[in-house]
Amino acid sequence: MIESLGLLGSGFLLCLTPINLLCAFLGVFLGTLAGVLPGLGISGTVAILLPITYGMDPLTALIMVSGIFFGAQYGGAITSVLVNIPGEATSIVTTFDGYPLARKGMGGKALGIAAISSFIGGTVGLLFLTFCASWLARVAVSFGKPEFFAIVIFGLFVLTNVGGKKKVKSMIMLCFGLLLGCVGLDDVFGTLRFTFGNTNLYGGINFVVFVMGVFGITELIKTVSIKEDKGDILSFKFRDLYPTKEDFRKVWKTIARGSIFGFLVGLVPGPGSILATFGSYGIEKKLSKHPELLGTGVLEGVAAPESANNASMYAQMVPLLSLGLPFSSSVALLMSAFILHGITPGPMLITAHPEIFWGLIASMFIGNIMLLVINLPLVGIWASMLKIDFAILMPIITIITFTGGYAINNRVFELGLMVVLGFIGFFLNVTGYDLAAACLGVFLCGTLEDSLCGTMTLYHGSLIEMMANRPVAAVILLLAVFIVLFTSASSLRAAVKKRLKKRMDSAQE
Amino acid sequence: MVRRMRAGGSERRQDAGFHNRCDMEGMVIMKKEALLKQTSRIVAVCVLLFAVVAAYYSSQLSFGKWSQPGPGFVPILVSVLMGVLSIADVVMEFRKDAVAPEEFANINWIRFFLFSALCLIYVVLQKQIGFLLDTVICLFLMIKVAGIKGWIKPVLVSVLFSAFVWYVFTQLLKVPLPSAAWL
Repeated sequence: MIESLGLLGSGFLLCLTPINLLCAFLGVFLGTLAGVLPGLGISGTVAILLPITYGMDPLTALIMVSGIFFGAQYGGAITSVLVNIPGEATSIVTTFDGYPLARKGMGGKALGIAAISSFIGGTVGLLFLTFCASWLARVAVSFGKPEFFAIVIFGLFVLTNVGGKKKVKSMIMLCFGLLLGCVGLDDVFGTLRFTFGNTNLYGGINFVVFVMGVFGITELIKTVSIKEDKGDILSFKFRDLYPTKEDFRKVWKTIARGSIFGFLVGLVPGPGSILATFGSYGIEKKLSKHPELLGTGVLEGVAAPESANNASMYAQMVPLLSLGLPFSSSVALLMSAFILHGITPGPMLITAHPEIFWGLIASMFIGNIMLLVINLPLVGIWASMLKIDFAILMPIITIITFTGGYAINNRVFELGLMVVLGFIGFFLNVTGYDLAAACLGVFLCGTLEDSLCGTMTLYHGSLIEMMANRPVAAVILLLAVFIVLFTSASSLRAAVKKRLKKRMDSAQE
Repeated sequence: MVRRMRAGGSERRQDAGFHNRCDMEGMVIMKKEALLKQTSRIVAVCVLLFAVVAAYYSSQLSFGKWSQPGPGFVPILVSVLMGVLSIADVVMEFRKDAVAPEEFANINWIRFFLFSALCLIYVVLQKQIGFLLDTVICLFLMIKVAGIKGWIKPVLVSVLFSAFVWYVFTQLLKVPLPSAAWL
């Protein structure tokens, strides 16, 4: 524990240089700026802004990327409160009370509480992350291919079976992503797959290009072609941004509950963050003395989802930092940013390069503080961003996306790929297919193939033999099977109930 | 009298023409609506076709053995799984009533196709006319397609912003952007 704190201190020393602080500020600033815009989402924002970090020193780049990541998160809360449009899926719950508060003329207070809840939730999440990730990474050093295979299968099964209604479509998209991840020269066997003689495909489909296509271009096309009512931008008073002692007394318990609950639920692969926001709001409704007031504009209704949301974001980084396995598209993008700068997250990171691990944790602390200290007074700028005509803004973002896409490998071919993926992504998205599952498929294909083939070779093609010899992998795999069976049984039961009710109704008629 | 009759005749003809046009437009709208309602089914069938094609090309790769997997091991398993799931998806889509996806109601299709086409043209022209000229032209057209009226604002934004992006990427970030050989 003391050793960890000492290492964290040295991480802070590495991070606290003027250039790093400036980059943290720029990252938070740009992230919030892009997060305020509709549609892009955290993944799209990070993908578009990633090229800015290309020429930077790895730690500085990581500080900036973390700033972008958390800034984008806060951007979603601003639009939820002031315009009733959640910038991200994780900000939906914030609209329930944030917008009614703004309508009552308490928008400033709602934004202030949102920022402070995010900060506290983030700090609690970060503290848990520091100890969980370092502990899990030490355990994971002894993991072999069977354990990694089991963890990937577990993560993907949970991802496609928890949260969403359209499980089959999510599974299909996961397979779609895995197949696209197979394109190119395969690392295990050295064979060319699905390249059709095109040399541009030999290196495979770049993950950042894929995300820019299916999240960036898809959303840009959608925003330009679907006319949405922007709604009234409600005004707020700047002096309200900093809550009073009385306000804080009202919400501190809510923030504490939201932070702890958010972190625990955030560990669920995939939609963990979304579940955390809805869950913490539900808990608040149950524990509140006046549950009927939630939804009419009370500060607790903003504090609960915002603290849970930020704590869960850090929880999602636990598998990333300790195992090198991301289970949400935005965290996968963060991992690709790390790899781009020569840092591979995983069990070896903390043991072989502790300075980078602790530097990274310290950079997240700095980003979190920056978000509160510098970002809050700039709320006026973010609100004015919403007044800019999207018809000008969207084409400009399209150009930035393409230029950023070109900067990855300096290849025009990849820009064409982005357009094609954006076009396909548009139709898949509006017909209810889960593009985030496809993203994870592309990203995790290599790990899945490597661990699966390794396991099959090691245990003579028998998963039973593997499970008999590897108890940890066996428990994880059985848990995955149990979750699939449980969710399938419950949806089957719901379908049978629905059909029976329909029949009863028609019989009564 | 004759003039009145002629006038009446032309009015009737105009009326008939108007009704015919209305019928035609009505039919086009109905056809469009029917197509939109079928979109989920069409997309589900396309996804199934993708799985079939992927399975075909995967089968050209060596599967190996269960104890010694080959390069086709994962693609074959995944494409077969995707095929089975896609069949289930298609069946489910055809069993429920065809409903147009919610977001389709507000789509401006002309804008959708023009904007998508402009994105493609922008990419194709990068090497032909170079980044700067391509960006100025396509950004201007994208702004117009997105619905900005007038000329001064789109021209100013496209010229100034293109120059800004070019400066940031080539001079500050040292990223070489495509340039036309003849420029």
